[in-house]
Amino acid sequence: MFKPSIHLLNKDIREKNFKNILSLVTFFLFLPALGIIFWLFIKGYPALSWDFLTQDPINGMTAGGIFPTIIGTFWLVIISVLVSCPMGVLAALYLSEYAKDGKLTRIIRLAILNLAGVPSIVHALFGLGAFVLFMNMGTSILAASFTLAVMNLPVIITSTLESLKAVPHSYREASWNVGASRLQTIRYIVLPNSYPGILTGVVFAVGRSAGETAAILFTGVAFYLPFLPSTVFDQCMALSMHLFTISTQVVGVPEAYPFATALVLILLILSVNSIAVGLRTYFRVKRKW
Amino acid sequence: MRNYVVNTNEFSFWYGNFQALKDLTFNISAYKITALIGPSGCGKSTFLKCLNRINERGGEVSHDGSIQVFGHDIYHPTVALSELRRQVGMVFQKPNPLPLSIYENVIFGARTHMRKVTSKELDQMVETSLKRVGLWDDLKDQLGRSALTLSLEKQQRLCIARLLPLKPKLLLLDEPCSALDPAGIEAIETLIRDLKKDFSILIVTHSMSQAKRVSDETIFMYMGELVEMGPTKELFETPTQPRTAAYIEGRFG
Repeated sequence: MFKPSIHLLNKDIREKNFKNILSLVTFFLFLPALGIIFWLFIKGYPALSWDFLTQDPINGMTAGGIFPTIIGTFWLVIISVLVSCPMGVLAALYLSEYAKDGKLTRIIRLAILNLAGVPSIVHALFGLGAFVLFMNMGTSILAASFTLAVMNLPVIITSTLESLKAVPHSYREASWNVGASRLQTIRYIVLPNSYPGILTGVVFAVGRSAGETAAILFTGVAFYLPFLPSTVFDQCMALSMHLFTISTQVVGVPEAYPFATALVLILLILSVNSIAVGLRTYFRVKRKW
Repeated sequence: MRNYVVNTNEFSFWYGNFQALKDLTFNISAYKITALIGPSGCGKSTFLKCLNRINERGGEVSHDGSIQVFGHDIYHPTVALSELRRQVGMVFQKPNPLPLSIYENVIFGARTHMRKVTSKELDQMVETSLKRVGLWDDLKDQLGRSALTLSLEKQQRLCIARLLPLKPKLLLLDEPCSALDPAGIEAIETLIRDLKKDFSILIVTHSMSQAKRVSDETIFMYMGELVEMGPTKELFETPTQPRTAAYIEGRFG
């Protein structure tokens, strides 16, 4: 009794094989992530130094450091998040908490999904037309940041919507039921239970805009500038753009330079992302329930 | 002349194209427990939710006819939903305490309605409300604890307690015991009977024995229509409608 039949043994083998294939695929997904950082580190290490991070590029960008590009990237990222974060979160709040599920809402949702699928070079052209030319901002940090913001909006809206959806409907119902208004429900119930998720989405958007190259190409980032930007109407340099420039456009750059630049960019993005993960964990632990 | 809390007049209600309630006309007495019974989908929960208009979210709803609560038309354009819901409190099928502490749960409603409340008044509110539902002795030393960690029965008590600082006049209970074990059911039923002194209560229940145990009057609904209404004892012992008789004998539903 209870002895496995041949059929059952075959079933077991297939089950095991399937599981092994799945774990193998997962492992291969993990490899490139580690591999990239490892490779960049090996190749870029010789060029890495304190001076590399704090000096201006010199000799036609074949020597010196990358300081202005780091500063430029910070400008772009911070301003674009200042624009896209409130807009995205508010739009998501409207869609999730106020909008009735009608035809118009469905069209808006569809538009957001499609906006997320627009290639970044198209965003760049849009930015050029809308911000640089039509709104007369010129090629500037402001125009580039706005372009990045437009690009990040769908990401932030979608991730915020997900976080809002994760708050059980019964909480809202309970809150409305004691006579709380929509706004009070959002403030006391919905947001406190969703902001770790919202924050994570925003921080990932930060990482994305830090690495973005195409969208800032025509809108405000220069190949090389001999000075640092002092207002948002100046142009700036950016890490991602600089990486593109010194790897393909300039002759005589030492081999380690592009790798070191890429390493700095990736470490920057990774540290921003780990801040997101850290914050989320912190909020989770801080809540007693 | 009897005192009524709810008067409905040819009230119909639609979710989209689906008519959930058909020409309901009846009166519900004050300071009584009225049970709404009927098979699933008969509209008893829908009717309950119409009374504080909590079902107007998520999709198209429409209505015809009128419902008066305390003599006032609740669909009148000047009605403020938050004020209606303050006075007509609902307890849901699944206990739904807010993800806050026990203390915060009790005062949540009051906070959303009152501008200035001193912390002393709030403390007083919490004590009175929790005492009223029989939770104070157990929980007075752990008011900062998350309400979500309580047992289901205590959560349901808390959900009732949460309504009390708002001084509601009518309590709507939507199958308040269906998630509870027998001991919890008995405890909540005892509480409901006790609350009758201060509130008019409307309870939706699947359990005919529960309707018999707790209610003074019973309304039997079927397919969105009112079939029969009367004092609980009479309705269960001598139903006048064949459908009522069939349902309470367990022949369908």
